[in-house]
Amino acid sequence: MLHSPIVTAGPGSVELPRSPAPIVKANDLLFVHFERPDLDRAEQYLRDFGLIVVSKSDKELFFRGTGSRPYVYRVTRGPRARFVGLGLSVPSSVRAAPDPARDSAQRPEPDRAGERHPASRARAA
Amino acid sequence: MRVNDTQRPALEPPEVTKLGHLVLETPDFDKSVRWYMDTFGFIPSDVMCLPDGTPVGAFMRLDRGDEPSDHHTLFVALGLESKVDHVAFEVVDLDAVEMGQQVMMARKYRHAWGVGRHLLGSQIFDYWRDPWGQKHEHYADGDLFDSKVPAGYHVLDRAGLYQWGPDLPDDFIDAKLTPRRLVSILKTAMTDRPRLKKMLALKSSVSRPARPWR
Repeated sequence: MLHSPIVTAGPGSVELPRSPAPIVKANDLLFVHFERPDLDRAEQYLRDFGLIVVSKSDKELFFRGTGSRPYVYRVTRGPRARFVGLGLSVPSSVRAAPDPARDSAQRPEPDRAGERHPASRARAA
Repeated sequence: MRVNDTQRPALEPPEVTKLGHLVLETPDFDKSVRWYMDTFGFIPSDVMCLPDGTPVGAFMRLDRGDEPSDHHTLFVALGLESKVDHVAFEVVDLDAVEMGQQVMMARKYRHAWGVGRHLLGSQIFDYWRDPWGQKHEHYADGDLFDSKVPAGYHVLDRAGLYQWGPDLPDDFIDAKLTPRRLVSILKTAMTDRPRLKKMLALKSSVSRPARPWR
C-alpha cells in the first residue's frame, strides 16, 4: 500500500497528487444513466441482473437496489445505445445555485448542463 | 460451519445492495483524472503505470475524511475513445455472485469475465454483458479506505488485475478494430505521437500472459 517517497524510476516516479482544493468533495455515487433503443430488453436484463423496477413509462425506466437510494440506474429510450451520465452526491451545504449567465456562456446546451464532459458526464445531484 | 443443516442459496437474481463504481476510458488520461480530482475531490487509491512510471490508470475513491469509502468509485484509464468500460453493483457475498452467475447463464446472456478476485480493491467479481455489449459487474467483499491511506503505484499488467480466477479473456477490453477506432488511431498517430506511444506500451503490457502456466 505505502510507496517509497523517493522513487526515481518506474511506478511512483510520476505522482498523481490529490487536489489541494477541489471545488467540492462528492460523498456518494448515486446513479448511472444509459440510453437504450429497447426498454423491454433493458428491463429484462436489469431484472435478471438483480435490480428492482421503481418507475416505468414508455420513455424511461428507473431501478433501485436494496440500499437507501431511490434509484441507482436510469434508462431512457433513445435511438442508440449510449452512456448518458452519472450522478454524484455532494454535501448539502455546498450545493451552489446555478449561475445562468455562466452556464449559458460556457455550455452549448443549457438544458443538459452538468451532463457534458469529454471523458464522461458527471452531475452533482 | 453447519451441523445438521445445509447451505442452499436460492437460484434467483442476487440482491444488489448498491451501485459501486464505474470504469471510464478516456483518450486524455491526465486531463480527465485531474478534472475528477479537482472538481469532485476524488483521491487516488492505486495508480496503474507503464513500466517507466507514466500513470495510465487511476482507482479513485470519494474523500469522506475518517469515514471509510470504497477503494474505488471511479477508475479512469487511458483508452482510444471516451466510453464506459463497465458499471459495477455490489451484492452481499460470494454466494450471491455465484448464484447471480447461474441465473445469467440460464438466461443465456454473454459472459465477460469471472468469477475471480481482483487485486487492487480485492473484490470478488463476475462480469456480464447486456444486450448492447455493455459490461455490468456483480461484486462482493471489496476494500474500504479512509482518507488517510496514501496512493499506491503499480505496473499495469494482466497479472495484476486479479488474484485468482480465470485469465482475463482477450475480448474483455473491447479492442476490435472498428472503422471508427481505426480513424481515431490514425489521427492520434499523426497528431499526437506521445499518446500513441503510451497506448502501444499499454497494449503490450496487458498482452503478456498473466500467469506462468498460460
